[in-house]
Amino acid sequence: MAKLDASSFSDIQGFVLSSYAGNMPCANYLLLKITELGLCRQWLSQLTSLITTGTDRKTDFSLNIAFTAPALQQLGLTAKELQSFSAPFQEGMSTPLRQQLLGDNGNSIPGNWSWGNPENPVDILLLLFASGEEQLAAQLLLLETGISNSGGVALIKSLAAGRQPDAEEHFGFLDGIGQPVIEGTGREQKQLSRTGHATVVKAGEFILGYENEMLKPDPLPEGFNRADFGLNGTYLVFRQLEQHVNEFWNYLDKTTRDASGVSSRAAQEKLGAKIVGRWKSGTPLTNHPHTDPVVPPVVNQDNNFSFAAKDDAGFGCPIGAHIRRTNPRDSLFNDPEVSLRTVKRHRIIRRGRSYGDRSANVYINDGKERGLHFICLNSNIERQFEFIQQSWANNPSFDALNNETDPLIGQRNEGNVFSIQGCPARTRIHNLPEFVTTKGGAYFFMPGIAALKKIATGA
Amino acid sequence: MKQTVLTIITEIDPLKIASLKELLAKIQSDLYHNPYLPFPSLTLLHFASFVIVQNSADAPFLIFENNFDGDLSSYLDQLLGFAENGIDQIYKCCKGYHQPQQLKAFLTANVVKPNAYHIGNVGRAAKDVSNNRQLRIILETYLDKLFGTTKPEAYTSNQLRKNLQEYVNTQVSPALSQPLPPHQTFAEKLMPQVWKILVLALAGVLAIALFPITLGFIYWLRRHERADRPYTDPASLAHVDDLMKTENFITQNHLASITAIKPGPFRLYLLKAVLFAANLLARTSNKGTLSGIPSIHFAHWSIIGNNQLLFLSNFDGSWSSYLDDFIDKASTGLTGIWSNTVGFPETRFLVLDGARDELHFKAFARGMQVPSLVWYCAYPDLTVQHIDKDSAIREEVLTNLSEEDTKKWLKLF
Repeated sequence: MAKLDASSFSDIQGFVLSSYAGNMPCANYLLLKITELGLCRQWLSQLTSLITTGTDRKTDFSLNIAFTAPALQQLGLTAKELQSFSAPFQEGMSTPLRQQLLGDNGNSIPGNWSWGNPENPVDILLLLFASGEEQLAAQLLLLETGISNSGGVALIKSLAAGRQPDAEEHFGFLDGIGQPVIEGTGREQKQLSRTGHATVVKAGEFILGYENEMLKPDPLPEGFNRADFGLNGTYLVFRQLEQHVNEFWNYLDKTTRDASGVSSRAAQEKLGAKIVGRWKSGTPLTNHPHTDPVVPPVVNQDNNFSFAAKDDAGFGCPIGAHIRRTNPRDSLFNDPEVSLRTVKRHRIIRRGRSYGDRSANVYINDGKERGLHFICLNSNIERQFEFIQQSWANNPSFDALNNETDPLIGQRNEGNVFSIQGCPARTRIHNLPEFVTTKGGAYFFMPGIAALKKIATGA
Repeated sequence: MKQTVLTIITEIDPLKIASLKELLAKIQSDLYHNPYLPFPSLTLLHFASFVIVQNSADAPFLIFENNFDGDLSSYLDQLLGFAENGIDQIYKCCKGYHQPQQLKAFLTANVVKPNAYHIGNVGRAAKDVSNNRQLRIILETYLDKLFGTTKPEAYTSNQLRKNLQEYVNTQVSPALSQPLPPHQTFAEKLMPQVWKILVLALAGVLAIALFPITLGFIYWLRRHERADRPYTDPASLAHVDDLMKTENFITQNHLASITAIKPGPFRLYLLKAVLFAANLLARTSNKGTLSGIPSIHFAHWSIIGNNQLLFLSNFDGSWSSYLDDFIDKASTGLTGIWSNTVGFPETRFLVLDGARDELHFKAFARGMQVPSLVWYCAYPDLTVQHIDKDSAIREEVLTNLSEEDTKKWLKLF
């Protein structure tokens, strides 16, 4: 089987290889519905030349595109061909099965979503990135005009993203530090110099048509009578996650009050850090268990740590902390080697950006929606995104914990707790509210450039 | 307490299969309070399930899986004591059963003992599991209260443990804190080890002494393997959805699967030999893991009718994580077993490749899985590891520990 190398980059959409965060801090996502097939194809054909590839070195703006299963069906894939796609992609994110598996309960039920559920389905996702606000507005206007003049597609929703690299998410913590390096992309050194650590993962875990960590390819989707239609494509998971910033900080406040009813900012930030597994600056608790050595807004992208040797018992980063659940590194099964090998098969590439205004006062509910447009890329939605969500983040028995879920993003069960391991014994905090609510979402397929041309021409 | 793992397998009267399914659905819809099978009253029971196997070649049959404490007779007495009517109604749908007076004899006569089985928490009775859980919850609550007024750092490990012990001695029922018997007696631990050594020695001697035959066997095996045709289609989405609908409601999940053994005596006897070896290894594993997998409560394999392999497993967590555990940690063993059945991914030398082909293996596993029509677990929020930890808390709660062991013990909370 072919290994990924630079010769394929021109067939891979740029977004798979880069977040564009460096030179394109502004972004907007457009969710579309196909209204007339012929005109939609016409519009797509014109658009195809604008789609950014992995070899384009653009500095002004980038545009990428992905499709849901119903879109591919309308655009000409046969039922049999669609069956070659990943099962969750075929069925969609909002089915009762997926809802249970992803933990979209309570306020997060798909019935409440503003898009991606049966009431508000979407077909096509456009991801637009630009070097500045003006550039973004100009490109957005062009795109939207094109869409409304096309007669083939209709704009369902336009989702604005917050300006990067203000990568701090709304709760106040530096985000987007740990990221696997795709083998064959030559980004190892870059990651190493940014975070002091690089995990190189087989290209097939993120780009279809290549060897994955089991040295086998994940199923290659078929389309337009071609067995290699899916080559250089990937699955894109999009979830709009509202963050309840004031609930988070008020919970920290309430929980850290001493006997006289007083809480300190330092105590709150420490509890927040225990929940996340990193201090606000990004510094990992495993390396700095007691205090944050860096004062925000200075950031610390240190990712050079593992749990087994230094923090096995969770005295630094709690066993159930967000970053430990979503990337347990070498901490599972009392066997660092097996753990690392297993964990490598459940990685995702995160490409999300936050949305909404920053809270002026994190304790006050200003009634405005803010959160994260969570986007991730993977070759096997079940083994990667859904596994992390189900078997790690929302698993009440994760690593022998009792009735806990991810303290930051988890759904809540009755009587839920969060254990903070320590000497001589753990403390527990109780009845955590849901700090995050799912507001929309869908599974998309992001095709390679050749496949995109097939979709656009319908043959 | 020794645990017993077995199934009761009976042929279903084809005319009554619909009403049997209806009855099982009623039981499943209310596991705890249904009038037919009051599971929570069965204090000896760990896990139980009902599965129907239906294929065109054979008559349909009913598989009643039982994982319980003690011997069969006392378990059946308890079962029939609480559920005679329900069991009677179930087996009225099966051939060869006539009246309630013969129920115990009928069930006993249809017992199928596994060719190989695994128990995650050896020697821990269902009642102990539940008591240990209760003790842990009481102590957790006590610690929460204590730390609500004083910070943990105010205590040394020894002081904290003393406080806990005092609380146990004065406030907790001795039924929850008195010492537990060891997981296994000395003889129970020793005998399988002796057996294993004897069998391995014998197998080694024979393999060398009969070297030409060993070579012939390997040649014959490779000939078979090259002629095998693995399944390559993905499992049907509707079938998988059907299975998934019943999964992930509690900490554990259930997997029941039936695979056809590859035709001919070669594969049948090879499978029997592999299962014999697997059973020997499982009997001598002392860490509660099956080939390194820490998440299986009870699992077993039975060869049925010399042409089918039944596998039943009660495991922690999601199906995907279970299958990944299998692939990451036990692919040799499970390939050695299932490569003797039809459709398994391409295998070399009995144990190589096979399950390491993740996607085909998962498709195979889903394809062979049959719905668990009834499935009951006596402790729906406990993993194998939880049971171990709870047990360790209980075993050492009132003993004398060194400071170092005290620190370790406190980490169990």
